[in-house]
Amino acid sequence: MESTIQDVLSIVKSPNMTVQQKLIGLGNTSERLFSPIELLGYTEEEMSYLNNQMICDLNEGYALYRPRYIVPDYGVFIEKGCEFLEIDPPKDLDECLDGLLILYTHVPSITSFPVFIGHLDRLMEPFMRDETEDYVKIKRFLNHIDKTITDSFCHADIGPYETTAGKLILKAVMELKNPTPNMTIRYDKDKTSRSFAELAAKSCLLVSKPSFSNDVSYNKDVGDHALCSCYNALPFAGGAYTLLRLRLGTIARAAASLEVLLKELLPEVAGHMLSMMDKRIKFIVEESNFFESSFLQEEGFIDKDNFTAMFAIIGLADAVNAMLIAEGLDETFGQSARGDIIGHQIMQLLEKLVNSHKGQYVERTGGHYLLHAQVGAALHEEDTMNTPAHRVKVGQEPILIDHLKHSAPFHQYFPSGTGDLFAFDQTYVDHPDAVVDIIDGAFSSGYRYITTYMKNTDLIRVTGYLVKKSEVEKLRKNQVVLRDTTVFGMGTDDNNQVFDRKLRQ
Amino acid sequence: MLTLPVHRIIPFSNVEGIGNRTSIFVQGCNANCLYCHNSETIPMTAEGIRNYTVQELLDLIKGNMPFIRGITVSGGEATIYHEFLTELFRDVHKLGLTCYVDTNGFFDRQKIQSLIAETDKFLYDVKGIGEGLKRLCFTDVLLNNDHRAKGFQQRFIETEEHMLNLEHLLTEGRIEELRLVHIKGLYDEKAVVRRIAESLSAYSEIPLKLIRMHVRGLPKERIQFLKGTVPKVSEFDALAKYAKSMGIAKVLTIG
Repeated sequence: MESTIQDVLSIVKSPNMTVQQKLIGLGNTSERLFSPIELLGYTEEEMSYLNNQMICDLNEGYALYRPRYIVPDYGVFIEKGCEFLEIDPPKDLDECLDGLLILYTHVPSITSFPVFIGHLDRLMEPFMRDETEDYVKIKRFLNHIDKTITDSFCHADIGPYETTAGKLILKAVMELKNPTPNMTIRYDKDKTSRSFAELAAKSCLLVSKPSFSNDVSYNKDVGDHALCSCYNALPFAGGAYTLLRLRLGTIARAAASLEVLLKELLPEVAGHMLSMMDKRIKFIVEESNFFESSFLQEEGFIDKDNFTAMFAIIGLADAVNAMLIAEGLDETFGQSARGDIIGHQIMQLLEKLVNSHKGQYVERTGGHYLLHAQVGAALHEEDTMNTPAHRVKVGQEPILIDHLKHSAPFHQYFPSGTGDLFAFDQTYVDHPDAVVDIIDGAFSSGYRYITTYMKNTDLIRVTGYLVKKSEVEKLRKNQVVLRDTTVFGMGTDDNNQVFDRKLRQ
Repeated sequence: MLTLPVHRIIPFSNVEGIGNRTSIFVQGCNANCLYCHNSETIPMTAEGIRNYTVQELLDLIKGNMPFIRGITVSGGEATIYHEFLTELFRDVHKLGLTCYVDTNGFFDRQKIQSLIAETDKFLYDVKGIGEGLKRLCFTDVLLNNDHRAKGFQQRFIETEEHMLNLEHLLTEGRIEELRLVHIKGLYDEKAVVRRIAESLSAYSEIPLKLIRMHVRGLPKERIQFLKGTVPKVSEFDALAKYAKSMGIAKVLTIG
């Protein structure tokens, strides 16, 4: 959405934003002071789909000056140091962690904070000397990140192999109970030891991270990759220029029948979203001079040939529910055989549309954009009618076994990321073996990503990122809070009651 | 055709043996323990139960794959249905899943030999030793249990056959865990713990779950028979300590 000078002043005068949050907000506002028609060449028709909310650009801005998601290869620093920042390659754990913290302040993204901070265990493992001392350093490092990268779309990866560093990271994460960084264990049951997987599962219940990614399926579909932001699987040493999303619920509500939706409306709207993505990427690559001015590109932390773009959807459940109503069925997505058929028809069509569109500057992913199941982080009221990704609406969930079987086949459509999450009761904490069994089953059924949490903890996963419920309560009382993701957590809970997901017993 | 009266099936359970398992609760028990928290499963028949054939259960179990690593049959008392379960377990094993049985130990070992051979692990609930078992497990005060273990006085109270069954299963490597519900005044608790410690002396990897008896959620008529039998937390802790001092390596307390 275009912004106005008035927006600048309302940010300046906001009673509940930190100065840093205001600065970032002002930056984003200025990106949207330009008309996308003039600057990017959007057509009136494209604009009409932004204005009627069928397409959402997540306020990404129009005067784009950096890719949305950047996934640096921090191994470059371990090996060569950084010339631009004048730091030598690290010789010990202190220099490794210190150097990484310095680098993080220079890794941009849509949030202005790094969305990927490295495969932490791989980066640290060569420097492990003394578990007791190393643990203190790792814990301090992770705590530093939580207090300075005040946005929980910041993501760290561990695994698939068990390492000393990996175990110490999990131990620290369980003790700190911080929202940031978000974390994924890249899990492959042939590479990850059972005990490491169970430790990660326990940590996931206690502090809602790490989530589990299916390393086999992502390696197959994305190649060398990392998990970043919420759960986006993106090319390593690259990233994604942009993410726009279709609000499938909103689109379906405008369709009188499934036929109209599949034959007319969806191809029409998707086509416009693809062309908007083309224009955005063109501006970043050809006009913004990002790659020309970035030491990350210059020194090999990233390579412009490793970037792709994300074609995202939300609200599949709402779209299917609308179609079920249109067909006169008293059923809901997640518990309806007909609903599953409709859901797959919608996704197969989108898959075909996206894969037949040739994008520029995305050779790394075969010249195509990647489908993504987006989970939220928009505060528009239209999101109340668009359930995250392809998830089942809260309150309409079937029992766990049926839920897993229903959702698994939908994961295949989303090479750049999707995930389901389940709230478990306390008894599972003493039985991470059972949790890992469920994860193994999910992955062998086609799951790409799964996460769990315990319902009664303060730190919970909203959709793909973590917030503290206590911080949301502060914000509801109009108090200043540290993390900018808290406002999304509050909005998403207001819209989709995510704090009340069905408890799995 | 053989069928199994089933009270309830839980597709995913994390507390009936290792990993994620499908738990099948049979209807019917050969005991009638005063503190039973599933007393609705004690009568041999009840409203709302369903009789399953082997094939029907097998289809249901298949439907829970690949999320489970096995099944656990609990009850009621599973071993009453040893013929059915032997057949079921044979087929479940062909699916690559493990088969566990939760038992009170009141069975005739010779008679259920085939079931034992098909059972990967038993979760073994030691009810106690001695005369008190008559009141604790074989009472008629609450419901007339026609199926009560035959000759229990001689077999389980005098000969202590359930403890011999336990020792036999231990030597066969078929015990996953032992349980003892701590209740006061119905058996000599230290003697029972000593007996368990002796049995477990060569099996330090097998845990004893010590559970403090509680009456929350029990029917009123049961609670009145349990007056004065609930151990204090301090008494429970002392028993756990005693179990450790007797050499039981893994004592897990649920109190």
